[in-house]
Amino acid sequence: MNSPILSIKNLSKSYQKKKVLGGLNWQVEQGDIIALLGKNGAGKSTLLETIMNLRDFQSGQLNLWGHEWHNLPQPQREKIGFVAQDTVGFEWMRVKEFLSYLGSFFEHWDSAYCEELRHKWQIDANQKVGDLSGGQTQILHVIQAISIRPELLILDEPVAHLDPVMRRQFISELVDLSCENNTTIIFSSHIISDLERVANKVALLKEGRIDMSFEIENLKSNIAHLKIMADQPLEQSAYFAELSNWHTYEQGATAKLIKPMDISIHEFIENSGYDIEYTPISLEDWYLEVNNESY
Amino acid sequence: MSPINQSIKYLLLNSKVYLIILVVFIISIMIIERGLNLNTLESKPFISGLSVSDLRSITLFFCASVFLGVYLAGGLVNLKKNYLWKISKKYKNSLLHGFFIITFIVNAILVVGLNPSLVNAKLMLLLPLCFTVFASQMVLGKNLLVKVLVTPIPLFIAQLYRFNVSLDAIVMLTVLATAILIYTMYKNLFYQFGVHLNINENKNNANLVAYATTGLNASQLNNINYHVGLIVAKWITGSRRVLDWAILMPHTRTTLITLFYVVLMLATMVLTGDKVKSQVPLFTVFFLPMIIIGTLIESRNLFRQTRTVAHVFTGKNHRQLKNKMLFALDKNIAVNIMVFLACILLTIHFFSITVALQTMLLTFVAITFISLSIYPYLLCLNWVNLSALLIGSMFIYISGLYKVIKWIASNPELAMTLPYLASFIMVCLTLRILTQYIFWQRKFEALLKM
Repeated sequence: MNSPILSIKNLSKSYQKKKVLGGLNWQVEQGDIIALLGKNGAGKSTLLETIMNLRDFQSGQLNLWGHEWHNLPQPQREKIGFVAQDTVGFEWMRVKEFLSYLGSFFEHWDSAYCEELRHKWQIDANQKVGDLSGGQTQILHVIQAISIRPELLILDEPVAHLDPVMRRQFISELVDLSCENNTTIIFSSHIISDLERVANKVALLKEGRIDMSFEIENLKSNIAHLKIMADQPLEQSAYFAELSNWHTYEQGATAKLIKPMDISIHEFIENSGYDIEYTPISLEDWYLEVNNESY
Repeated sequence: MSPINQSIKYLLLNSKVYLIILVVFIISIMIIERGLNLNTLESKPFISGLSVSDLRSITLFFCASVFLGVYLAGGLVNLKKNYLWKISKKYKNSLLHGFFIITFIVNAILVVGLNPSLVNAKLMLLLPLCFTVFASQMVLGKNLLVKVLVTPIPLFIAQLYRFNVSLDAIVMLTVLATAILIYTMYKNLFYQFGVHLNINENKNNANLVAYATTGLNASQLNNINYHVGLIVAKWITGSRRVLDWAILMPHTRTTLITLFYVVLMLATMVLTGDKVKSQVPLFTVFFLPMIIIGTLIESRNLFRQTRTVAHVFTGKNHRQLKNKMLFALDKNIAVNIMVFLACILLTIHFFSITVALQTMLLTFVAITFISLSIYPYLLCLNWVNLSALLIGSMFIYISGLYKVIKWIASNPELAMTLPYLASFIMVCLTLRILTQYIFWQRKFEALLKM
């Protein structure tokens, strides 16, 4: 098992009287690519900025590589890349100056790699940052964050302004980066189709806590819409307690399995004693289900 | 709330920070006009019907009216970007009515502080209003040519005194020109309503603030910033992890504001006459705190840019980062003050102005030291929302400066003695340690909020 690069225990964060994070526990292991999901206002940006030490928290513990922030050694600090949700600033600089300036804050800035990325994403070195489109600005900040060859990369909605082509390129770059450098990546996004391509884990932030955290492959193969056939209307028994959206009808019931169980879905069906048809649910539908208030 | 009332509200609140500065500006003018007497100007007639003290009064209120005009025009530019400006006469008229109602009310308040002899000349009461309307053209004009040609019209009209045109006629002409200008504003004659802004401009509140204060749009400002940035780049990036560019962008916008006002002052002096030149020390003490406050607010707006790199700095509560910020600001304030001082000294030399140089320099040093010692605390304040704490702090800062300047003006010899100098420096150092400690304790996330 990999050692945790990020460990959060019982973290709480409030804005005045509004509690945003409450008793949050989370462990992120080296090399993971984690998609952080949650509704608008769930606290994703707050959590990512708290991890980056940009926000204070009221209670709990947050360790990176086993250190609290104020004890984190300088070399480790310079191995963290971050792209904020709103990439505003430095409008007056040219792209090459922006990259060179921010690169000067990091010991191991890889300028050759930076140039390669800039060429790949066709960002003109002499263009003013203020003249770039929203998507180009976002990519520019991503280039800056990736060019330090980070061990930990934190991206707050990095693809929000990107077109599908740019998104694919971006995702491919993240995967390459993770493979080459064993980079741990945590990113928040609302575009579910993308996270399937890049992330190996998904974490759902709900009511101030990490409500669910699964490996994507495990999740995809164990969430389904179930049709349970019986001779009469079927009420939800203890065996089916893990299922949600239970609807009884004349010849059985329908339900959804949106939280993987300890056993596989096949075992679950076999052990049920009923004839069950199942249809896999897409991640997008799964996301809608878990954010449904009735869940 | 009626459309006009809403327009008034949004025009007034388009940049709360500069609204605060405007209020401080007006109050300072009134204090200076009523209380501070750094220059012993005789009140003998300067031109027919206008004494030197009248002229000083007009010049001071001219500055406040200009500021008001540029500020309101900045708000108007933002509001007229909405498509309703093009299709709804009601929307357009409510904004213009709101613009003129605020202009009228604020200038009516300003008139209270005017020299009593001017208040007696009824027509003169319209002058601040005229200045505001013309100053707004610095922002509203559709291109640089219109801005350059229309904005200084009152100064050109004022030149008629050289041809022995009476004061009443000059004022009448200025009022008439203003009326024509207001007509053109309603008829859209010289204005490119729906200014094209680059894609990121809306996101950058700092750009809008700069726009409202300098009359330059973001791309012009970025160009100037860029070229001045290249000049200062040599020493500003001498070592790794220097924050100057991240929080000061890079010295240029604030320096630009300094030069903007200095040029305004010089132009006024050249166009109004010899005896006004002796007002230089007054302008010095008046603008210096404004420049420092402007620098702080601009930097405060830019703190967010440090988010990408904040984590590479060590220390609990971001101590190292905060120290770097203060160091960058110390340098910046010093550079701004040097630029301003150089401009003033050149003005004094170029126009052969006789001033009590020692007193002026002493005042300069006092303002600088007091500001350097107190500004870490001012950075902790929330400059977006008006609060009793902000107003109270600004009041203490401005009135503290006023007391010190007044004392120096009355005791210039005593102020130069060692015990007084040493005590002053000790007090400033102690104050700095205290305010720096408050800044260290301030939560970083609070500093990141604009």
